[in-house]
Amino acid sequence: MNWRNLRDRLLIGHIIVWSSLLCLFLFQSAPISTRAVLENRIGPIEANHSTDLYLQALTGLQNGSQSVDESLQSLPKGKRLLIFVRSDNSPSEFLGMLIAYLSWPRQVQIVKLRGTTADEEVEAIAPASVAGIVFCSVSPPTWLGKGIRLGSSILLVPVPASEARP
Amino acid sequence: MGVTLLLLRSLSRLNLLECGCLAWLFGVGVVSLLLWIGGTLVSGVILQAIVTVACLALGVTGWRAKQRAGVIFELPRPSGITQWLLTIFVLLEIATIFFVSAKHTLGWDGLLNWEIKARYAFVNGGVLPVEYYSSAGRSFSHPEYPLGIPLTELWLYMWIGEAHQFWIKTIFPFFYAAGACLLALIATRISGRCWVGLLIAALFPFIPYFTSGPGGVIVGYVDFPVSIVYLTGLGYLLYSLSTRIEYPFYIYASCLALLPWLKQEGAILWCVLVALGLVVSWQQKKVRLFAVSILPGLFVIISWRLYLKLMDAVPPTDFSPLSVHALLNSAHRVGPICRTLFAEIESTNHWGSFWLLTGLALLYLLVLFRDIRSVVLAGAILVPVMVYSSTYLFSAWPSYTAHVTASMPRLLLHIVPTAWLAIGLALSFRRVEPEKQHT
Repeated sequence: MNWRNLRDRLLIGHIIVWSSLLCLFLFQSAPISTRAVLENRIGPIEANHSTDLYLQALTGLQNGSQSVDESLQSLPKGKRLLIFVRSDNSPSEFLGMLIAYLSWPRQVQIVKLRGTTADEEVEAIAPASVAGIVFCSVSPPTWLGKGIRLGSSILLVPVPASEARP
Repeated sequence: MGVTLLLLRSLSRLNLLECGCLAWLFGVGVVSLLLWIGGTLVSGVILQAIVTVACLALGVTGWRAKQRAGVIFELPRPSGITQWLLTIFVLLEIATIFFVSAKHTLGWDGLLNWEIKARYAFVNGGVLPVEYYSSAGRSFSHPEYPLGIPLTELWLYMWIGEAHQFWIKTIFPFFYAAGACLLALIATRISGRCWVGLLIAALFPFIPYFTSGPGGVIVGYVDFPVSIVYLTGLGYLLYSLSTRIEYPFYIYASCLALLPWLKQEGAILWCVLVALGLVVSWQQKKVRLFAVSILPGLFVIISWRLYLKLMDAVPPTDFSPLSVHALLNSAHRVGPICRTLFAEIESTNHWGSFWLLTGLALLYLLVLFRDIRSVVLAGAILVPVMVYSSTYLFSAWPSYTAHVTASMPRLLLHIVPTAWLAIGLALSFRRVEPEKQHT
């Protein structure tokens, strides 16, 4: 290798530039990647691994998939489930989708609300076609009565209870 | 494996690693397509038996073709301490990706767009229920998305006997393993230097988005498999520039068929690869072969569209229909979209300085090398970014910038392996003469 040779000078420049850039890349990226490798732990090795962990993290509900499934089984068959979520709140929307995911093959309808209450929307429901109403981080109307609480943020109200009007 | 052996039967020696990686990609395609087509006629154990028999028949046919042609397998071995160290490093990284996958949950889309389809199909005897496609309440799960990955997940469910959100995650590290090996192989062939291939395969997983982004390798999203199929299709297209044998074009054609079957955006990548394929085939005077090679992908795109119409699927709501009027109305979006794109590219939390490396590699390709291979490779990186960015002009989200922010990182992921290939070519610092390439 000779400094006077243009090709060699280019090659040396090439090696210096790429070595520096690749070192910079590793210096910036390796700590972030390493953190991802070290965080969390394996398991539990269960069929509802992801949904259980999400429900636990968002609502504190243990063994959530099974609890939600059992609660939904108690509802009348052949009617749809109405799920109220907050459009400005990602966890609320995500919970609504999780409930829809778990409630198959029942028909579902997800209603996105701008606020945290659903008084008007619940009043407008035709009870005959609805098996139950789920509120995800949404406050139910006070006149609706008690439902089944699933963790801190999900409330399932079977339709007979919701038929009551204010 | 059968499909791969049939495609590679013209070779006298088969690289076992290459065969294994391609077998994984094409296996996913064949199994999912067979499940989809078979599912229109039968379900349950009969469907499982038919698909199994078809796969075995393909395997036997491929093996016989290989035996008849006298093809022998060989496993490439690293030479020298550097290559051995890099190889060990790549293997350790693959093991780490398997390990990290086991520790994380399926991501939002991984669960609610992809696994959901596998689960519903599983409880319905292996066929996605007709009601699912038209269920407005579950339109969040995009029933119109193609079924390549969900039906692969379903195949695993059928064999383990239950829908299992933990074991399903093991599918994706296999894509990583296949992708890392194919990246090393393709980069070695195109650059003509083995250490370059191994080096970029070793650096590959250090992109933070792979392991810590909300759409990386470990959370069950389809974007990483799409990126690997795109890399493979492009890699073999580039390889076809330097060889007279036709098998790279067959691999390219198979990847073209797979892309739109994995994700909707795969159709955009299909268009890009078709355009690049036309350039290459024109230069190679293989236009007839090219015309045939785009047919399987075209068939997949058209038949999936027809199927969705037949199922009365809920129409997607993320984008408004393409029209000149909509385009003119959204012209003011160009600036904010570009700003959001650049902000994403600069995000070191997602990418480190990867895009800086890519930018420099593109400079090498377009300014220093300037051969057809470099131009095709640069096009394969730049065109998808431009097309993806343009799609947001038609975004129907209330906030189109939120749409860009939410999905752009995943779309950029599609070209990451290809960008690594460009970096590899730039690193090698030489234009490789076709005759000197590895075969």
